[in-house]
Amino acid sequence: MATTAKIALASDVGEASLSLSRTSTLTKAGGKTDVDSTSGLARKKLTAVTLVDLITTTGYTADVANKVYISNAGTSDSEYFVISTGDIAGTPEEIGRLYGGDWMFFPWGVDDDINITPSVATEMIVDYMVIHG
Amino acid sequence: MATTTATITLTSSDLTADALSLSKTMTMTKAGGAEGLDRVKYIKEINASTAGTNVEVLASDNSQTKASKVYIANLSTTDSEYFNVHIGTSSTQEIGRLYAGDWMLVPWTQSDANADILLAPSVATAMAYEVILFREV
Repeated sequence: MATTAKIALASDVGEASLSLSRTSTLTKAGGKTDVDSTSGLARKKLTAVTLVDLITTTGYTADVANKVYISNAGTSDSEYFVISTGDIAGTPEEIGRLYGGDWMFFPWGVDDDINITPSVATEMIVDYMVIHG
Repeated sequence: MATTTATITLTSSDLTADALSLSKTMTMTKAGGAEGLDRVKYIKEINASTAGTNVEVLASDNSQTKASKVYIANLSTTDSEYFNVHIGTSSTQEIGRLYAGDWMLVPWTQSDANADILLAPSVATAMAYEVILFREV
């Protein structure tokens, strides 16, 4: 009875092929107690090239073992979301660009909001989820 | 053409009343196209710096028009040990705590010269980590 996150990476970029698999059991900070809460998998449709909050810090505990999953549900090679963290009233730090079909999974310290900016004004869809304890 | 894929599988039998099962595969491509990323950098290192002090593990090359992905794993087996992951140099922005056994995969724009990836260990004793950078030239 647990929540697990598994990654399987495969690549032939290097001289030797790379194949990596790792599974982590998602627990509360510093122990073996399973995480027990989630935002659930959510979806947003965005239609403006505007920086907006995707996940705000409200309701989440800081400096624990929260995890965030974000996926660009689109299929366009050229359309992307800029994912950033920080106060949108200031200058958030850009993490990276999530192109069509891309996903990301990372720990979230709840130091600041997670923000998103679509690259185009035509409808773009993002799926996201917070898993926390 | 090089091909790199990453599949995430999230499962849980008890996080919600209904079982959670999510799986998604992405092919890592160059920005705005279908051509695969063509460079890889692998680092396995043991960090023994001062607890709470950021150590640079990847330096930004200020190439925001290019695509790259970063995988980081905390190889410690001590539940309480973590790396606090940051992005930035002079004004670091915290991302989150990567506890023992945890991994993360994020796109990395290297938006400016102040977008380094940094790890701050929770303890001063040796902690091992693994980093893989996939990028385009």
